[in-house]
Amino acid sequence: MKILVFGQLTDIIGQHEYVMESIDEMKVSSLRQQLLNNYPALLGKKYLIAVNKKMADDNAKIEATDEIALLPPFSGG
Amino acid sequence: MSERKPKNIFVQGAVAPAFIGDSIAKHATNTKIGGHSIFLGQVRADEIEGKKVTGIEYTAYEDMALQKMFEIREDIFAKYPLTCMHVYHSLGVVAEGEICLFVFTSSAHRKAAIDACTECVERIKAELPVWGKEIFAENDYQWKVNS
Repeated sequence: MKILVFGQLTDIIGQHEYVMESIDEMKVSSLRQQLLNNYPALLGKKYLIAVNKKMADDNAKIEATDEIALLPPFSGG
Repeated sequence: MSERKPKNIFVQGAVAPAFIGDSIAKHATNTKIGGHSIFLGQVRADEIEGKKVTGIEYTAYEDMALQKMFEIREDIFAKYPLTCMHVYHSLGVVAEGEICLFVFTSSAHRKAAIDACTECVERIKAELPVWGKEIFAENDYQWKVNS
């Protein structure tokens, strides 16, 4: 699945976009866990997850073809 | 009334004062308008722990931001009797003192324009997936936090 990274999370993950190997379907909560395993510096960082440009809660399901975005607190304007 | 579709709000770099002036001038032909309200966001040269902010670099999840802006626009048009509403937000680097956000509402009577403009600005700050990185003179930065 394609993962887009924004704001301060780019400092932790080191890139704006990458592809994560995924096995079939998973929940947003397991994606969060997997991200934390890969990037321990995410611990305690607040961020929302959008699936296909819509905010998704922890129970939402993700498929391998989805576009995922990691969104830390907004600071526009 | 014509159908409203998502439109681009992003401009590269600062919003030029001349562009703002031109936008106002363009409304002269719409004589049903009785009041405009304008909000201009300007990059403040904050000093944080002895380091001075020289500019803000904006990035956005553009597709999602434009979709969200469309929803905000629809909500505001449903709530207030506006003639029109225009929003421009910077991307990339905007130097201290330059304009990074331009919200412009117009209506027959002032209250709708003023209230809609305020609500629009608040919702932009809270809901649009846009991030500001405060750049310091010392080749250093920190991520902006909205209050």
